[in-house]
Amino acid sequence: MTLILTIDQEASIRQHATRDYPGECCGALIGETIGAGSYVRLAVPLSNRHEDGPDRRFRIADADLLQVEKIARRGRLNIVGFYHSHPDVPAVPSNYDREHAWEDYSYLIVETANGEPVSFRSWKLDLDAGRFNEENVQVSQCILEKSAEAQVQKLGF
Amino acid sequence: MSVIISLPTPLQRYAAGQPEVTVEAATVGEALKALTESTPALAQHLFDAKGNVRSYVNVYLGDEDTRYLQGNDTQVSSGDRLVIVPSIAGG
Repeated sequence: MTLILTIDQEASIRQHATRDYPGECCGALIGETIGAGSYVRLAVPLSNRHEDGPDRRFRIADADLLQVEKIARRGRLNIVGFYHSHPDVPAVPSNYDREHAWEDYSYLIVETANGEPVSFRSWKLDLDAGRFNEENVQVSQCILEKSAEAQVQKLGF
Repeated sequence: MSVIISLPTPLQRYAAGQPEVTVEAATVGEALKALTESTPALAQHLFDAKGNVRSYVNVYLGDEDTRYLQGNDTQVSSGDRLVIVPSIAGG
């Protein structure tokens, strides 16, 4: 499988990871899966609501995710995955990531070193095997859909 | 009453890839029961051993988490949409 992002989406995620450093950032990836590719149409930055704070963990509020689901449905799209950062830790899923992961979502992890994004890697859970498999990440030159971006801003994310 | 249930991406594989399923029900509990009768493989992902909705699965009616309404006894009307939202965390 390949996770396909636009250059604007990648930049947006990088900026989010830097902005939230030394905490973990998180967000949702709305898009569609065609063949072996998951095409991200919108990367939605979200607040990290983890009960232990943002230093080592992330949690997306259920109510926030509901709003993202609505945006996706309106666009006849799906949530294809989520992103989060690993501040000063390699972009490899932790045990905590694995314990909380769902099948069929892409989990894009951004490693930041001193606040600068240095690595993007994406993973998918193999539930039966109990492990993540890495997938390719491809960055394309497409232009972000401005109508979808405006919709997200209107909802206050 | 016809109720639409929206499935999150990870559960769609158990419903032949469909993002939503329409069932006949008068309550949230009846809707979930009808859903798992038509797609039995979903049951283990939605319910624990006691038959309760799993803690990391949330069922919304409109903008309300049905746990904070009347849970499975929450009444639904024809045309209502239930949205199943998985808990998302990591670190």
